[in-house]
Amino acid sequence: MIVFASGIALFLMAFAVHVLLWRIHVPKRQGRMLAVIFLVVLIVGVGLLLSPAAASIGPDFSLLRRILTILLYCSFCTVYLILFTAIEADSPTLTMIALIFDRRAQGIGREELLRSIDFNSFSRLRLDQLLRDDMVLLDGERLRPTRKGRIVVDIILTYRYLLGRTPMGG
Amino acid sequence: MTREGTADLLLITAPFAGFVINILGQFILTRLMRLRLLSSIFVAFTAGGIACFVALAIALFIHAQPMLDKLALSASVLLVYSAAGFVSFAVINLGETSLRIRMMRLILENPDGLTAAEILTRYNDALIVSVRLRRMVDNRQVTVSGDALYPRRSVLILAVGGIWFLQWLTYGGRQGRLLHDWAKYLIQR
Repeated sequence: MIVFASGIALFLMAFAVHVLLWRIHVPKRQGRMLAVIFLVVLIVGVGLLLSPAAASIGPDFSLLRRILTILLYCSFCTVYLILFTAIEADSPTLTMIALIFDRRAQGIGREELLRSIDFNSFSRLRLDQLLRDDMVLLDGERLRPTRKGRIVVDIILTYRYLLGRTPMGG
Repeated sequence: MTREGTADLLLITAPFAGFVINILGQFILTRLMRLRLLSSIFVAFTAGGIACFVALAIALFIHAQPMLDKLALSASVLLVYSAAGFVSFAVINLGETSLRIRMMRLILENPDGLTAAEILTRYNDALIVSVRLRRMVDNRQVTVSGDALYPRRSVLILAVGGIWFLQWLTYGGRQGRLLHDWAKYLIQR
């Protein structure tokens, strides 16, 4: 029980810090700041779990189980970091669903739906995010990939290539 | 090594073993057996889950402990395995739908780089929205009657509610109203 409870408690602590900070001031580089919060709590958690106090809890909280606690915490953080990409910026799908919800019973026509969407917001926003996250850099007026950007894209596309998937949707 | 030590080692290795089988399964199913991507992801995840569950069951069998502890340990191990599965799914899905990855690909294909205007012209919002809308209709995630679109109870609607909740929690603002409407819709139907 202590493994599960400690893993969740650590994540909730990090999540509470994240929500509190974001309510006070939304950081410019949100993804990076969130990763820093998770990392700091991880370091604190590892320190606590490896301390003599944690070891003295009992045989049911062996070193391997404390490692499992850390794994559980890291799993929650990783899943939340991936979900956060959908939370920090409205996607086209989220925007469309919101518009369809706004007109629930009456329904909304396709043309009206497309007219209501603020075009040039999704792509522009994503482009700004690429710059902010150092995935691309501005060389004069031209955007060029950074080493980090190449590595991220290579990982994703290589995995897809190995699975025999090459075409991409929108 | 004691029985408790062996059991704990199995608890740690169970999600890793499941993950390795999941990934290998995806390659075997898509490359050798030519299964469709979505089916291969589902079948491989299930196969990995079974491997993880077997290792977990052995660990719990060789080290007797109270039922509540068994349940909590099982939940921990299965959550770690599921998270690893979610990461692999996200990596595949990002290459399929992520605007940022698609833009990055465009930039990488042009060694001299591209201007922001060139990128926005080649990958514009109208195209993205029409592709997503068609996908939502094809996957029956919204109801279509004549030309009008209506919300429909689907996994997507549930997921969107979860995202709105997290957005409201993190940023506050208009998501509160959307969340209220969403909850009312689910209760009414």
